[in-house]
Parts: sequence; structure tokens; C-alpha cells
Amino acid sequence: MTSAAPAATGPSARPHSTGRYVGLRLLQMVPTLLLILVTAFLLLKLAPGDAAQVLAGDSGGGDAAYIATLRQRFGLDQPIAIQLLLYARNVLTGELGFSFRNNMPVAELIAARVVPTLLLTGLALLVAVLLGVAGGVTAALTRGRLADRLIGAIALLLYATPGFLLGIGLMILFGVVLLWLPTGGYADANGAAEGWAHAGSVARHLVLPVVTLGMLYAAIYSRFTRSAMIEIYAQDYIRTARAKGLAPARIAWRHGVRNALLPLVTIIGLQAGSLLSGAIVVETVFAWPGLGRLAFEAVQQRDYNLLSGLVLCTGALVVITNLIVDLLYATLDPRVRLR
Amino acid sequence: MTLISDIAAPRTLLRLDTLRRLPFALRSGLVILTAEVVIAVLANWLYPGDPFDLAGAPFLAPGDDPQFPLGTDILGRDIAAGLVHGARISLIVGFSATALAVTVGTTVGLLSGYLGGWVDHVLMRVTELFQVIPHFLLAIILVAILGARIEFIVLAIGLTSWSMVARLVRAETLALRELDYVRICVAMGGGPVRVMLTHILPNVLPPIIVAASILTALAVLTEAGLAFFGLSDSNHISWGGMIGASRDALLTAPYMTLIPGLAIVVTVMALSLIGDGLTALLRRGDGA
Repeated sequence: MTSAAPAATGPSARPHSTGRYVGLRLLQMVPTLLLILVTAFLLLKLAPGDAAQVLAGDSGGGDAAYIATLRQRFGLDQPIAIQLLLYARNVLTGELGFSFRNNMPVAELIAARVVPTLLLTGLALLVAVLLGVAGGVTAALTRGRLADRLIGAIALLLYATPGFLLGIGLMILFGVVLLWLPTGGYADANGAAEGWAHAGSVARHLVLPVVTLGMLYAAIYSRFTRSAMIEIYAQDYIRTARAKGLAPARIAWRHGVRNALLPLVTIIGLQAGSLLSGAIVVETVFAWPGLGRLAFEAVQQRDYNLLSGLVLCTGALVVITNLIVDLLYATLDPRVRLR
Repeated sequence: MTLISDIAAPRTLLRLDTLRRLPFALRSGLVILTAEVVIAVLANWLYPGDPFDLAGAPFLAPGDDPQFPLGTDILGRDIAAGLVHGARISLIVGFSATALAVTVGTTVGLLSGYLGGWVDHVLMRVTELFQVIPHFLLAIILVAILGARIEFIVLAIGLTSWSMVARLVRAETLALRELDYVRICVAMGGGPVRVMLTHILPNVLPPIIVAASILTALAVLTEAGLAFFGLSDSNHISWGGMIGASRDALLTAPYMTLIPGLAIVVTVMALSLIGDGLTALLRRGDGA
């Protein structure tokens, strides 16, 4: 992630081939991914009761000998370093443990929830960028005037509102009072519609969670875009463009927004994890069947196997997102290379 | 609100003559926050007794009974008393979690930036780890494992929010390390600890103070989020806890959620305004 700063500008910048850059960047991910694995393992160790106790407890309380047998079978009697290696081996082969509460492998539970979360966060990000950039550019262009102050006040208010409160507010307004949109869930339960009808139903269920999450981040992005635009407008090339007699709208778009978008990409990458945190709350409010709702259910049931699997998967998801953002950034701005 | 990325590298500490002409944002933020701190301190005097006591009939809306200006909750507890006593816990959690995050983050950032080499490498990988795991997920897991007690809530919020301070302090330290007066101190035989504490730390304090106001705002929000998930200390009343406790009455009595929710919004806004104002102040003090 550190490579996203244009660190290699100036005389020391040596041209690297794209392949080399991608390779190095992939290599850089390895220690972080290993640390995520260790963290998930440590959380599992920190949790009260191990797999043997959970299993024995669920099958009507076992005697000590039965628990000891189970421990041996799971390798829980081994030293902690060996256990870590066993865990790592399991994870690398796609085995994330078993959720005794759901009676399903953790990997299957998580896999079923990835797509809804990506759908929600992806669309929310789109809404956030569109609203945020539009708001930020408007604010910067009307700096100090009413529109600027209004946008700033709305952004501040949104930023200060806890995610669940905004979600509940929108849900009560549009779902309960106005009855325009469903209050929660993934799709209409009755009739199990197929094709377009199903997609339409999912889309209607998506509106409120996407808008809630999108608005929270639009506040941050508008703030950021505004300061980036103001900084850009102090540059010489803007004065040159003005002196050339270019239309203000053309200056704003070609010289302003396009340059302001670059640092925004970095912020978006850095906030991939934060977006998932926001999704946990929003999915819980709207009963959206994604990773966040799964995390909520796992916490309610104290399902530590599932929780540590979620740490592993969301951590990896963020690392991969950061990689994509960095590569995107390097494509957008050729000056950027690994430090 | 100020983002961490907004914090440039201001190197001037607050000066007395600038205090008189504080930016409007800073002044209003400070006024609101001071008022809240005063209310929190006077909680026992304003509303003596346990805020968990059942004071009257449940489900009294604000204005129904002059004895309970903000109404009562599901069980008949006085919401106004809860709000005043809750300010105490919410602010304590916010400030303590921030103190923890700032201490850890500053230590890691200083060591990483000043010592460089493998120390930097290892510390930055760990910092990255705490950036990629979604903070709220890690916080709910830690509180679920350790138990919903106020000290563990503080620990969980602090542990999940120090990474941005570490990166900020590291970046500042890297720049400061190259300055002449620091090099002179090193040449005169100043050891690493001495240089870090007497020359680097005082100069990274201004951006840390700005970051602290943002972190406190985030901590108050996180405490509320944890409480919404049922992870609040049931021995201490807090705004988040009040919201969590009224979840079942969300549609029948939304005021039970809205009133403490509004308190959170006002607090976070005040803290963000302080962050904004400080940023403006430091930029101005920077000679602009």
C-alpha cells in the first residue's frame, strides 16, 4: 500500500517493466497475508473453549477422556507452533474449520456470502464516488459561498451519524412510513421469481443499504475532493488554462477533476477495510445476507471458528483490493512505481 | 471532519496570540465538547442515583410527563438521566481508546521512522496488518472474546485504530530525521531515545493532536456500533448502550433511539469541528 505514493519521481526514478512491478507487488503481499493467518489463529486460541469442548458440549457434555480423544484427533494436544502449522496447512488447502452452530464448513458459509457483500460494497462505492466527487467539486468551485457551506454541513452531519442510525432512519422513512422500498432481506421470499423479476426484486432490496453505505462514504470523499480541487486550482497550469480562455467547465473537468481523482483512488484503496466495516453495520440493519450479517450472527452465537475465518477472508479481500488499486494507480499514473 | 490525509506537516506549536483568534469551527467545537464534559462531570449532582433505576412508567414519550422531559425507556428508566450519565462513559471510552491508540501509534511510528532498517520493516508489516483487517470486525471479535466490559471495549477500539497514527508519525519522523538540528544533536552524541523524545516528538505533536480529535470521534462512533451489536457494558450506562437497549422498540418508540443517537451526532460533530479548526489553525501558523 505504501507504493501508492508517487515516491519514485525525480532523478532516482528508474523505469521498471510492468511485469516486474506486478511480481514485486505480489511478493510484498506475502508477509501481510501470513500475519493475517497468524492473527486468525491467535484469535481462535484466545477464544474460550476449543473445538473439542464445543463438540463435546454440543453432543450432550462429554467426559474428560472423550474430550482428550477429540483434542488428539484435532491436533489440539500438540505444542502451539505445531498447531499453527496445522492451521496454516488447513487454510492453504481451503479448510477453514467447521461452524458447529450452523453445522456447515466455515468456507462454505463464507463463500455463499461473498457475492452479496461485493455487490453491496461495489455499488455503494460507486454511489459514494459519484456523490462525493460531484459534491466536492461543487463545493470547491463555490468556495466560501452558500453551496459550499451547505455541502460542508451535510457532509459533517452524515459523517457524524452512526451508520446504523442513518440506516434505521432511511428504513423507517422509505420502508415503513412511505412503503416505497422493502425494509430488509435479499429478495422477495414469495413466488421465488426467476430471471428479470428476481433481479428486479434484488435491486429494490439493494437500494436502501447501498444508499446508506454510499452516503456515509460520499461525505468523506466530498471533503477530500474539495481540498484536492482547491489545491489544484492554486497551480500554475490552471492559471495558464484560464489565460488561454478555456471555458470554466472544461478547466474544471480536464484540469481539475481528472487530477483530483488520482489521490482519491489512493484514499479508496486505503479505505477498503473501512468500507467492509461499514458493510457489517449496514448489512445487519437491513438483513442483507453478506459477510457483515454473517459476522453479526457469528458474534451473537459466539461462533469463533466462523469469526476467525471471517478475519482471514476479509483481510485477504482487502489485501487483494489494495493490490488492484495499486496496479490501477500505476496504470493511471506511470510515474508511480514501487519505492 | 478532517481526514488523516488532510493533515499536512505543520511544524508550529500553538502560540498564545493565535488562541485569541481561533477559527470558528474550533471555537464552536470546543464550546460543545466542554459543555458535554461539564455535564458528564456533574452527572451525579444533576441526576443523583442510579440511572438504571426504574423511575416511572415505561414508554413515556418526551413531554408526556413533566417529571421526565425526555421520556422513559422500555423498562421505565429516565432517558434524561441516562443521557447525562451516559455522556460520562461515552466520553471516557472515546478519550481512553484514543489515548491508547495515540500511545501505541506514536511509539511504533517513532521507532519505525527513526530507526529504519529491519525495525521499520517489521513494524510496518504489523501496522499494515491492522489496516487490512476491517477495524470494526476485529473490535467486535475482541469484545466478544474478552467480554463486554468497559476496559475491553476501550482496548478493542484502541487496538484497532492506532495504525493511522503510526503511519502519520512515521512519515513526519522520516522528514524530521533529515533536518539539520536533529543531525547536529546526533553528531553531538545524542542517543536515539534522547533525539526521539526531545527533538522529534515535540515536533510531531501538532498533527498527533489533530489525529487525536478525529480518533476520538471515531471511537465514540465505534462504541455506539458495538453497543448496537449488543456488545456494551451492562454495568455502565452509555449512549450506545441506550440505543442497543431500545432496539426492540425501534418502530413503536423511535425517540428512545433518536435521543441518544442525537447526542452521539452532536459529540462527533463537535470533535470533527475541533479537528477541522486545529488543521486550519496549524496551516495558518505554518506561515501561510
